[in-house]
Parts: sequence; structure tokens; C-alpha cells
Amino acid sequence: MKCSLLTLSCALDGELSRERQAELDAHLITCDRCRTGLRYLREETERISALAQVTLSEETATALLERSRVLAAAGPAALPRPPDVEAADQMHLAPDPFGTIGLDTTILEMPDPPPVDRASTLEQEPPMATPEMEEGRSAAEVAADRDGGGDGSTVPEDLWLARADSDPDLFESDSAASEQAAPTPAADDASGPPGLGADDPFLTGTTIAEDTNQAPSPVGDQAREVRDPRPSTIVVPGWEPATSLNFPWADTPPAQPSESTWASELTGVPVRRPAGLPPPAAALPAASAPPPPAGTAVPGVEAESGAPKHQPDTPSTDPDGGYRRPARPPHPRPSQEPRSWTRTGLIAVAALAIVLIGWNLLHGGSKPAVSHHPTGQATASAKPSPSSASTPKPAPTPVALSGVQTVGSTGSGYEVQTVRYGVHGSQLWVVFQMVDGSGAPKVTAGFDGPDTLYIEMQGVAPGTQVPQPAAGEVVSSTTVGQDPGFSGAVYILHLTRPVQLSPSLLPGTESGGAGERYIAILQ
Amino acid sequence: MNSVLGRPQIAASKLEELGRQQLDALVTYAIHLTGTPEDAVEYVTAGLFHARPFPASALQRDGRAILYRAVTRAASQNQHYPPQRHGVARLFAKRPALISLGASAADAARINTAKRALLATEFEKRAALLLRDLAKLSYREIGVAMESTPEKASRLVASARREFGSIYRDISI
Repeated sequence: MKCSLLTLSCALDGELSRERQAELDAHLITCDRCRTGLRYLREETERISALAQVTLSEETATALLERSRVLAAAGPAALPRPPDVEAADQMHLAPDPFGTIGLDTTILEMPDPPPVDRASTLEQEPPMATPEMEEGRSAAEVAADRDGGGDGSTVPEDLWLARADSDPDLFESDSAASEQAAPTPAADDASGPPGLGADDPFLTGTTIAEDTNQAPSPVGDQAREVRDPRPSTIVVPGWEPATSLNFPWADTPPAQPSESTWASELTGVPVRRPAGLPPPAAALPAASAPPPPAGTAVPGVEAESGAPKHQPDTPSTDPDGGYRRPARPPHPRPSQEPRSWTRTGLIAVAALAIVLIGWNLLHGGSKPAVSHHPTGQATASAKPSPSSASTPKPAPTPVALSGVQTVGSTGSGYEVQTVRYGVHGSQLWVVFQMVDGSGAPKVTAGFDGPDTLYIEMQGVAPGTQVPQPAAGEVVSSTTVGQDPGFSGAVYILHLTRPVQLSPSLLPGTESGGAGERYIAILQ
Repeated sequence: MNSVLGRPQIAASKLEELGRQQLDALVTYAIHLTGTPEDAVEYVTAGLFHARPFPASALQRDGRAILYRAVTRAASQNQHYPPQRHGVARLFAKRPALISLGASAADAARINTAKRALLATEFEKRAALLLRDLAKLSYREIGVAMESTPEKASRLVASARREFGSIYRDISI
């Protein structure tokens, strides 16, 4: 007998055939290593079996089933079940892909999944890392053993025992022996691989409408062959799309719509409604559920969520009196992705706005307003001193003069050297001698009230000393003043009475030097 | 005449009945498969959710294996249910309330030597080992649950036992 890990494991699970089990039992009597290996396997099985079991309470189980929408799909318990449902279920009937109620659609037996070539499947399987290889046996020797064993189905019976005598290694195994030692499936296993075939929604490509996180399923080649290449149009759980497996006429080209064509646009399979068929409601005497009201979908669909998920885009009844299947509901993924991104974007914008507002409050709140000069010239101080911000000066107002008279135009660099007063009859001449300049300075004179005369000299610096007139004259005193917004010398003549002004500007000085003389004649 | 009026209800009620029967075993399997009760709950929920489209005939024939298959598939593909949010939105998503599994789940999640060795094995072998020795599935059912053939399932179980035993003996010293 050729013993191997696979054989012992299968024997431990009781999956060996009766003959193979008898051979193994006979071998275990003489092979100590196999007995040890079997004991190890049994210990490991017991360790796994001894793992803690979970027992859920009834409330927890109900909550879990509700969350998975199994209870919601089942609907209220008050939903009656048709009396022939159990019997029909036992017949393994194919579900009606059209969702029709009471129509005499042909009942088909669900075809078995296509047979799988087990030999090819096993050949494609890479052999396990056998103990032989681990113990140093070359791959060629293992391959020779494999060739000697054939494909597993033609292993001579005596080889099983002969190998055991020649090589008593416990874990001797190769692919041929593995296939030979592979468990013989039970009677119910003889039908082939346990693929679910057409019943498998993973393989038939049925769209799960509520599944928003479905990753691509790594199905095998066999499954890809079974997969229906056409896009599925049936999204109702429990139903499957029409495929070439369960509906041989599925590849029939769709007929042109006519009065008798019914629901062909939904499934791609034309179904002609037989003439003279009574309305579906009347054709369902055994159906205990009431016929669906107008504007609602199939009851089975709505019972899943408790509320209609979508409204049919077609009338509930067609001209023939039958019920139309509701239109396919939109897949939730296209509508959920943009909503997620939109919400994320809104959150980001709101966060940015909050940051900007906070920055403004922290850095922009104490910033004073830009102070403007009374004449309109803005001060370009970007960072005003805190003192000026804390104690703002009162805005100066320019002096509004009356009876303004201007002489000169463009002169600069002058300085008032002296101020002289001279009485010429009833006139008082006030002479301002300006030196060290060029051109004719612009001098503006005007009255600020009846007793104040302003003389503003542009481009002229005031003198250090201001001579005062004699007492009893029309000018009581002369001071150097200021006029906001004016750059130059400003002289303020305080008058004892209102006078008339006659200004003039003469070049040169009294001694004949360079300069300008401004003469204000007061009368 | 064929009536399909009650078929969704039939499948749903069958799934509900089957789910109630196998829920404890499914949660136990998922906890030992993933190691955390929270993930186990979400994978079991996802498995039950994805098992809903199966017709009643398939549930009647391979119901238990279908449920284990759905849970295994959800765990291998990291399919949480409800689906987990991605991106910035996950920070603001309202998560459903956690389902507390009770003290038994805490015991099952406790790490011991066997559990550590189990979690150190490959996912596929761990699943096969749990399906065989914990859930007591036959090789044919393991093939359904693992989406393979019974022959491959038998070899997977054998190699899983060897790997688990090797790791267990290494870390138990």
C-alpha cells in the first residue's frame, strides 16, 4: 500500500471508500509511522474542533438577519404561501424569468452544470510539496513515480501494497498516488463538481442591485465559460437572467414588437402571449396574494424592501390586460459615487471657508483702516504703529480762505529772509524778502475771517525770526502758521480791522541782490 | 401553469430559516477565520446579503455550503457589509450600531496557541481547515464553499492540516 498524508487525512475524515479504508487499516497494523502520522492528524483535528463556539442570542440573530436584509426580503410572516409552492420547489423548477403571473410559460428542468474534466483539472493542479521532495528526492525521481502511476485512474492494485513494502515512508506521496488516494465521492458526489451551475448568481452574472461594494469575483475558467456575456437585465433576487443553459431559445433574435409581444424589451426573449388567455389575475386562482394594484411592481420585489423602490415607466397593464414587468431600477452605484464626491467637496469648501474666516479674525481684525490725508493723498503706511492705531489723531481740516489772490507761478528754494512793514499814507505795506531761490514763487493770500490774513508761499521756507509791526497799525501781529495740506511758508497776519489786499511780486532785493519780494498792500 | 408569485418569498424564507439554523456556526467560523468579532459580523452579514439571490432550489440542495461560500468570499475579498466608506467621506459617515455578539464571541476571539497557529496559516488553508474540522462540512461541501472540486478540497485540507500542525508544534515549544 502506498500511504500518504492525503490518504491519512481522507481516512481521518471518513472519505475513503470501503476498499481503500480496509487496505489502510491493514497497513496501519504494520506501519508505525502511519499510525504516528494519523495520531498527529487526529490531534490537530481535535485542536480545531476544540475552538470556542459562538452562541448568539435571539435578539442578536434577528438584528444580524435584519441588517443583512434577509428578514426584510422574507417580508411579513403574514404573507401566505401558495399551497403548491413546496411541491413546485421540490421539482427544482426554473424560476420564471419574466416575472409573469399566471401565464402558461413553459416549465423547464434546470439543466445540470456542464461536466468538468476531472483529469485535466487535477493535472492543472500543481502537486503538493511532497515529503519525498523535502527529503531530497529529485524531481525526476518523483516524476518517474508519477509516470509509473499513470494518470491515477489506472494505478494497478498491487502497486498500492508494493510501494508500501518498498518505501515505508509515512508521507510518501505523489500526484498519482494522491489521485489514487483521493476520496471517492459519495453517491451524491458522482454528478460532478459542486459548482452551482446556472443557479449560481456569481456565475450567471446576475446584478445585485444593492451591492455597492462588490469587488470583481475571481471565478475560474469554468465559471467564465458559464457566465452569460450579455448584460443581465434581471435584478430581482431569486430570479436569474435567461441564459443558454436554462432557456435554450435565449439566443433567438428578438421579434419586432407587436401587440402580442410582451415584455420582450425587458428580457430580450420574445414571449408571445397566447391568444385567448384570460387576464393574469383571473388565471391565478391558487395564488393567495392579491393582484398588484396599478402602478406597483411585482409583489415579490416590493416585499423585499417593504416599499416600492421604483415606479414602472410603463402602465401597469398593457392593452391586452396583462401586467407589465416594472422597468429595471437604476443601479445605485452611479448615483452614489457623485453624491459621495459632492459631499466630500462641500466639506472641503466649508473647511477652507472656516480657515479663511479664522485667519481674517486673527490677522485682519486689528488692522486699522487706511488713513487718508484730508487733501485726498493716501498714506502708504502698510504697517502703522500701534500707538497711532490706538490714539488716532483728529483729522485736520484745511483752511477755507476768502478773497484769495495769487501771484507768481513756479519758484522754489526760497527762504524768507526778513519781513518789513512800511506805512505809505493810509496803506500798510508788508514786504516779505525771499532769497536763495529761483523763479517766481507762487504766493496765495486770503482772508480767514475779517481779522486774519493768510499768506501762503509755495516753495518757500519760513524765516527763523518774524518781525512784528509797530503798535497801532492795521496789523497787530504776524505769526508763522500752518495750513494743513500746504507745503511752504504760511504767515498769519492778525488784523485790527478789515482791510483790502493788493499783492504784488517784485524781483530782486532792496539792495539790488537776487531774490524776490512779495508785497502785500493793505488799505 | 407555473406560478412564480411566491418564489422570492420562498427563497427568502428558506434563506431566513437556513440563516437562523447556521448563524451560530457561521459567526464561529468567521471569527476564527478573521480573528476579530467585528469583522466576522460584517462578513457574515455580507455573506447573508449576497446569498439572497440564490433560488430556493439551490438553497435546499447546498444551502449550508452556499452560506459558508458567501462568508468565505466576503472575508477573502474584504467585503464588509454595510460597505465601508472610502476617502474623506469615511470620517463623516454614520456607522451603524455595532452588533454585540456576547461573551461567547469574546471567548472565541481570545488568542491561544491553536488560534495563533491557525491565524498563521494561509487564508485558503485556514478556511479549508475550519470548514472541515470546525464546521464539519464534507469534501463536496468544502468544494462548493471554496469554489473548487472535492479532490482539490481534500488535498487542501490535508496540506492545511500539515501546515497547521507544523506551526503549532513550532510555537508551542
